[in-house]
Amino acid sequence: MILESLRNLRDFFKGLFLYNLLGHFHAQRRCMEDVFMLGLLGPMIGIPHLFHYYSLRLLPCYAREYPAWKKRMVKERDFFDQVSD
Amino acid sequence: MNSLWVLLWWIVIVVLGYWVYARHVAKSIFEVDGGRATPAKMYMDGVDFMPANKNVLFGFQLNSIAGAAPIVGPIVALQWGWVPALLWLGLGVFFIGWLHDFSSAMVSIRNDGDTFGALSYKLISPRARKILLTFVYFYLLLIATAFGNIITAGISKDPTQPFPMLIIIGVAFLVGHMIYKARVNILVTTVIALAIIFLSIYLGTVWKISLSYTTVLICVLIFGYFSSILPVWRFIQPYNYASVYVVYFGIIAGIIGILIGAKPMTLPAFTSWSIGMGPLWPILFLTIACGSISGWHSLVSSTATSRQLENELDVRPVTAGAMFAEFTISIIAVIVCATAFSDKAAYLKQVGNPVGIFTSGLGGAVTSLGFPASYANALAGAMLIILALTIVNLVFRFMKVASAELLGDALPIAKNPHIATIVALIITFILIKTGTWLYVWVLFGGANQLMAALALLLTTLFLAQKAKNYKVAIYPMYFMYITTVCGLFYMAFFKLIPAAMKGQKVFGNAFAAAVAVLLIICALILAYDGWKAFRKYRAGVVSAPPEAEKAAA
Repeated sequence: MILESLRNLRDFFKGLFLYNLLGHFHAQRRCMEDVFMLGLLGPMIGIPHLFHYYSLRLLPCYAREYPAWKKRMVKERDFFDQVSD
Repeated sequence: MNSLWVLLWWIVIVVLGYWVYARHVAKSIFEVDGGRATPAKMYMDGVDFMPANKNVLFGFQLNSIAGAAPIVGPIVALQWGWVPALLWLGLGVFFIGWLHDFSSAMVSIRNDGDTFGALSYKLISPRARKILLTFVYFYLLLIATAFGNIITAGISKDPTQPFPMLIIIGVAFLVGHMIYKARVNILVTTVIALAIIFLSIYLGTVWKISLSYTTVLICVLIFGYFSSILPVWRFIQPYNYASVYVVYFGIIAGIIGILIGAKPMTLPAFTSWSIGMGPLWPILFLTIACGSISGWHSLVSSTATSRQLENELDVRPVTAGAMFAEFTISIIAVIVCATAFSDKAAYLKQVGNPVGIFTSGLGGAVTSLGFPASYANALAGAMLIILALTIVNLVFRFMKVASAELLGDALPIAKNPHIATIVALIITFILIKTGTWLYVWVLFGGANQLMAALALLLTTLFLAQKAKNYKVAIYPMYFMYITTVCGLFYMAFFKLIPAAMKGQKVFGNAFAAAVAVLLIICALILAYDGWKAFRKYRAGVVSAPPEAEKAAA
C-alpha cells in the first residue's frame, strides 16, 4: 500500500516535471526518423527517388513502422495539431 | 474568520464534485468503458499517440493547464469580496469546470483523437474551423497582452526581480545546451539549474535593479520574439522545464505556510454587487476563468492528453482530477491574498499589479516557514512572473502559426515566421501601452470562457449525435455562452467605448472594444451553426452536417 502510493507519487512528479521534456525528446527523434523514412520509402507515398536497391534491402527492417509513418505523412495537420507539438 | 474554514468549502466541493457527480456523469452519461480501445492504443506511434500511466498524465495535465491565470483571476476578483470569488470558484468547477475538461477529452477519444479544429469541422460545419481559428488568434492576442502587462508591471515595480529574471533566461539556454548538445545527465543539469535560479532570487534581493515600464516591456517582447523564432529545444522547452520546479516549490511552500499560519481573512467577505470594473454578473464570471472553468483546458485535453490515455477509465482521474487540483491552487491564491492586507484600501492600491498582491500574500505565507521576508517576497514574485513568462513564450509562437494558417494562402508573407511574429509583437506592444489592463484581463477571461462554451457546444453535439442525455452539457453551455457574450458586450459598450469617447487611452480602448465585438460575432456564428447541427442530430440524423460531408468528399 505504502509502496504503491510512493510509486504513484513518483509517476505524478514524473508527469509534472519530466513528461513534457521526454515527449519532446521522442518527437525530435521521430522527426529525424521520418526524414530517413522519407528517403527510404518516399516512392510508397508518391515521392520518387533513384535508389530502390537500398529501399528494398532495408524494407524488412522498417515494414512494421510503415503504416504509422504513412499515416503521419499524409495526415492534414491544422493549427491545433501544431499547438500540441 | 479563520482562513482554515475556507478549506472546508474546498473539501465539500472536491469530495462531492469528483467522487459523486463526476463519477455519476462518467458512468451513466458518457458510459466510460475500460475495455474500449483508446486512440493511444489504436494508433500508437511512440510520440503523439502513446499510452501513458494515469499518474504521469495527471501530472502532465496539471502542468499544462495551471499557469498564472488561476492565481491572477481570483486576486483581481477579490474586489467583489472573497465570498463571491469562492462561490464562483466552487460552483463553477463543480457544475462546469471538471465536466468541460473531462468531456473535451472524451469527445476527442471517441473521435480517434481528433483535435478541436477537426471536431468543429465534423460536428458543426466546415466554416466553423476557420472561424475558430480567427477566434483563437484574438484570444492569443489577449493572452499576450494580459500576461505581458503582468510581467512588465511585476518587474518594473519590484527592483528585486530584474536580476533573477535575466539569470533564469540565461539558465534556460544553459539547460538546453547541457541536455541537447553536451548531453549532460538530466539530474545533474536540473540540480545545477535550480541552484543557480534559487541563488539568483537571493542575489536579486541584494543587487536591486530599477527599470522603467517601457524598458521592461521591450525586453519582454524581445524575449517573445526569440521564443517564437528559436527551435523549441533551444529555449522554450528548457525554460519550461527549469521553471516548473520553482513554481511548484512556491505552491507547496504556500500550502504549508497557510496551514501553519492559519491567519484570519482580513479583506471584506463581500463589498458590492457592482464595482468600478462592472457588475458582479457577468464580469466576475469572466474575471475568474482558470480555477473555475477555462477554455484553454479543452485545447490541452483534446490535443495532447486524449491521445495518451490508455484507458477510458483514466479520463476522469486525469482531466477532472487536474481541474480540481487547479481549483485548489485558486483557493490558495484567494486565501493568501485575503489574509495579506490589513484593509481593503491597501489591497485596492495594488490591484493593477497582481504580482505585487501575490508577493505580499504568498510571501507572508512562506515567511511562516522560517524564510527571511525579503527572500520569501522575492520568491513569490518570481514564481508568478515565471509562470506568466511561460505563457508568453508559447503565445507568440502559436500566433505565428495561426496567422500563417489564417492568411497564408491569400497573403504569402504571413507565412514568414519573422514577419508574423513581429506583427504579433507590435499589436501586443500597442495594446499593452495604450490599453487598460483590468479591462483587457476581463476580455481575456471572456475569450477563455467563450472557448469553454464552444467546447461544451461540441460536447452537446456529440451527446446529441449519440442519442445520449445532452442536458448535462447544454445547460452549462447556455450559461457560459450567455454570461460571456453579455460580459463582452458590457465591456465593449459600457466600458471601453465610453472610455475611448472620453479621450482616455483612445486607441487601446477602441481596439480592445473592436476585439470584443469580433469575438462576439465569431461566437454568434458558431452558435448559429451549432444550433443547426444540433437540430439535425436531435432529429435523428446521426451523420455530420451535409456541408461537412460534401466538403470532405
